[in-house]
Amino acid sequence: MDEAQRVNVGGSVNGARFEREVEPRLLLSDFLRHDLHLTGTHVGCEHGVCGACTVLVDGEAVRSCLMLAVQAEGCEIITVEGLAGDDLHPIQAAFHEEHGLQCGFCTPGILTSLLPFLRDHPDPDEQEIREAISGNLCRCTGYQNIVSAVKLAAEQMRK
Amino acid sequence: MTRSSAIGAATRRNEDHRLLTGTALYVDDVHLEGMLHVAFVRSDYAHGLLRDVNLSAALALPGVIAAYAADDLGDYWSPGPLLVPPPPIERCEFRSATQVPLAKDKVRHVGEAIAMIVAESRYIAEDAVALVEVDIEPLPPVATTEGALAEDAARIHDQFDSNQAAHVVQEKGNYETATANAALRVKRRFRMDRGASAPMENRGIVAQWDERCAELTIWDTTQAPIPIRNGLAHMLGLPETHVRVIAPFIGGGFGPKIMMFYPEEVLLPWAAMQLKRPLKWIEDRQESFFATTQEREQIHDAELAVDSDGRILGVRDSFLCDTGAYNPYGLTVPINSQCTLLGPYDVPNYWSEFQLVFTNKPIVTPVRGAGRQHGVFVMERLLDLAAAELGLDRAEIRRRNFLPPDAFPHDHEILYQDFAPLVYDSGNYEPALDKALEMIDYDRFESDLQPAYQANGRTVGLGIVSYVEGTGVGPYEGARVTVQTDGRVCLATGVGTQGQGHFTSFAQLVAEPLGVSAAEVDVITGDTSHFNWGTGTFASRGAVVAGNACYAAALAVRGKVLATAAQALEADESDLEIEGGCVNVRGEPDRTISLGDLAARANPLRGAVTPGTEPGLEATAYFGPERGSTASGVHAIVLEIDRETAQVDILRYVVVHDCGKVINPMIVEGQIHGGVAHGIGNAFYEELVFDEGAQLMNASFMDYLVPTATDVPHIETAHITTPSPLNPLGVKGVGEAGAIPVGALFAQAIENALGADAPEVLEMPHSPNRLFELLQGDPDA
Amino acid sequence: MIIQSEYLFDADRPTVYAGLQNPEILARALPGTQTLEIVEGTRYAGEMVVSVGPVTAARFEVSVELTDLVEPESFTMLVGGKGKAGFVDGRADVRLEDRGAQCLMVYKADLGVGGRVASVGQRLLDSVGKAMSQRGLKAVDRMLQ
Repeated sequence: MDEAQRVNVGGSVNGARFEREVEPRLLLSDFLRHDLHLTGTHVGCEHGVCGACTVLVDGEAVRSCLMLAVQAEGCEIITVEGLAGDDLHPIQAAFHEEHGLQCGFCTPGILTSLLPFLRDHPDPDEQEIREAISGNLCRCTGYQNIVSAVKLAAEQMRK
Repeated sequence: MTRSSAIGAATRRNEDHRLLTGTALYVDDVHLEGMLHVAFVRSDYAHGLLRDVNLSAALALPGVIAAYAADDLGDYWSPGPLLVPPPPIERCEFRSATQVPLAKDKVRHVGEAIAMIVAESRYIAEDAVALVEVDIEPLPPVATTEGALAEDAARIHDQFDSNQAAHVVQEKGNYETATANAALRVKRRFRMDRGASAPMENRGIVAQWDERCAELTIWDTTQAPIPIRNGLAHMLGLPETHVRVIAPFIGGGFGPKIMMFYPEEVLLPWAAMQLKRPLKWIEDRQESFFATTQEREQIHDAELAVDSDGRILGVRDSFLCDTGAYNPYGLTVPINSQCTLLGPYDVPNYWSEFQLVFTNKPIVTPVRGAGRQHGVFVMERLLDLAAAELGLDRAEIRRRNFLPPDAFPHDHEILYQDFAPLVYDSGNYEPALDKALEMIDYDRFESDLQPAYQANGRTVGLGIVSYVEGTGVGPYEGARVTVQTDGRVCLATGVGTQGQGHFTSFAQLVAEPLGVSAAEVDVITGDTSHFNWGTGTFASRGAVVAGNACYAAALAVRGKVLATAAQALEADESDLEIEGGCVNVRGEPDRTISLGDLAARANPLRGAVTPGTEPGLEATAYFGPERGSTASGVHAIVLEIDRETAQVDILRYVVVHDCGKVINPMIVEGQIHGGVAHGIGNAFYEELVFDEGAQLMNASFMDYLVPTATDVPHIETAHITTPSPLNPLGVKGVGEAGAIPVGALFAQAIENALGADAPEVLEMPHSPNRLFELLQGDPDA
Repeated sequence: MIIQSEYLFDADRPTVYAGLQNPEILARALPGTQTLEIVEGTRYAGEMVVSVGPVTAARFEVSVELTDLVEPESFTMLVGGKGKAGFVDGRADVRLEDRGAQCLMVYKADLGVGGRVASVGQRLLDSVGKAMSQRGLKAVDRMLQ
């Protein structure tokens, strides 16, 4: 593609500023993974169904395969790499404790989907949790231990 | 918090931290300087003559580096190997036609690769794909399993006189004479349709050729890195030691990732060598619906004969199995169906025949369960029908036919997919049934619970089925255990991991004999530069075959540790104990030495050693079982049918499972949960729908419905432990078990919910659409 | 995919029959057809743009041939289309009957699609096929007035 057709995009990811020239058609998921090398965000279906590519854009869960990189202009993005500090985030720790992951491919998208969910639902019941993650496909776990992990995370985060 | 990592403890996983923080490496995360990207031109036609492939417009696009059609591959173009030749069954005719790297002369299924484009970016490569002009003269497609053998069916492989890929008969006893006076025969036709394995990570390959070192490195989403390395070295004329295949973290496998060689797997390394640039190809989701192998299409005509007490006299089954356009995986799937049909039952007479047929659909290779669900579906449905005819309780007919605990080893007198006789090693089926009946509240269901639901206008049914799973087949796996000078232990094994927790369960097997915690064991799997003997992750065999190899290597190292410590501590080996990373003289806490210090002693830089001594605290061991071990289980369900929407809601789901000795119950339960979810998909939601032109109509996650968190219920589990006598740990496999009986379970529960007059459910998946037709009283349903 | 239906034109039978051989009018009968020109006799070629579900604005090179012509009673229409999103291959048997001053068209079309348009669009096409054909014929009807 013609260089002239490239456009500037700037914003922040996990607190760090970025400024890049990209093709207008570049997906946010590809931008994060291949331009910024934040490969923790995974791509499972490229059509917005599986939820593996979910990231936070200005605090809300967004499918990065359904968004163009240029649309992230001025946005604050959080990816799975931005969740843990010195210790794991309570959601990550709960997934470890409850065996809420197997192959781990869908996990980053589930973790990021859960952040705004648990912010808005600090004490969710099982049905609410299942509905909250029903937009994230997981082929390995049968979801049961994910549900347990979310319950545990909510409990820890309320403390 | 310290946690036990003994064998049998629910040790939390070593691999989680990397996976949870986004730092684990998957194939698509590999980024190399100067890397180019690949996209494929694929056939829009299911069957046709490939007249011309014109790459010139694609090559003219800026950013396109190379483009190849079949003819551009020269001598490198060759059909793939027959992965699994047929077992030595006496009555077996077999014709092999394996997949090709790029279609030449003919296309045989939609999505078959025709040309390969290499470009500066994936975006440009896909732009170029659209510029390739492909001239295909359509031929009539073979779109159905039954249609494949029709007189006038188009021939898919010209070298054969029909689309029959195999015809196999296996027989035990004599069905005809033994059942001549049967009190009852039930005979039905059963249909099972296709599904996708649908791991969340699509396939992908990165290939890097280092010309100065003459070394080829390949990152591959494979379940079998070592055979891939050996095969590619052979194809490319390189020494095996100069090809390194890395299967890093893999985002789910479920069978198709052990297929070899996929066209892309053959082409990328070759092109990387041609172009002297690293190449990457990542399958997209739509591609995966065509280019990744699938499974499950079979049609059975089966008959069960019983005496008046419901005891099985014999089974006769004749079935068709679709292998798609090619059959690189030989007879594995239909033989699994044929053998698993016998289930946990005493079947004195069995006549089973199948025909494997070519169709113009994507290639069939094992998908989690690998044909076993078909056998279970047929047998369990026949038992349900016989019980109904005889007025016998459905649990009782199973109980009466179980092989008793003293019947093992039990020889079924036919051959299994691992070429060994189908001999069950051990089993104890009645306790599992009793436990499941108790957990699902069976006694109260029909007397109290179901009538209460009915009184409230609710349509609720219960199902309960039994199954076995042949697991842990040979040939062998190996492991190398090394104690490092920092006291940590390194374990390298050949089997790759796709989420099964190998970094933890294998670590436990090594940690216990060496007196360390599992967290102190660094596991390396799936990298041929670390361990290069083995076959791969398939047939629920990781824990059984590789697990026992890990354990054996750890025991050998334990021997070296004790011998070295006996010298260092000037003590008798029998007085030593290993605990907390140290060797102590029992009862004398001051006489102690750490594993790390022992490792240093065992690898001295100067001085004399005893002749014949091996350096280091390291050992390599292999394990190959005589034959597979047979796991078993019972699943029970209570489900509700919404008569208006034809949706089902699973109210209860119970699994009682016996996989012998359990290494890590947390991981085992996780495997069961995932298997059940996959099974629910195959039983009710997932079906690859092909039209009469063999065009797949639902190649996206919008139309192909993988179960979500609201479709999968809470699963209640319990374990029975019947150790396998075939391996020192006494373990059996568990990876596929959860998925195997679910179709039969749904069918029984749906019939039970709809009452005695309901039409029979003789197919899977039993989609909401089919259930709707059944509720409308469709006579064909 | 089989689409079987009928349409009552507000024109007499010869007008309908002749009209359908005029590429401009014929193009209206095939929804999405942008251009259609005579190649020779009753063979036509042009371009079609189809949007079905997630397949948006897919361009097809389209060829149409009318055969087995029995004036003014019946003909068979063969349609072939090829593009980046796959292919379309169809055959329609068309019969025209007098209904007073009007003309009834009875048609049965057997349509096959392949490639992306089949794998992600066909299930939608199945349900909208009949409505699309009726919409096309309505446009033809208006042009014949």
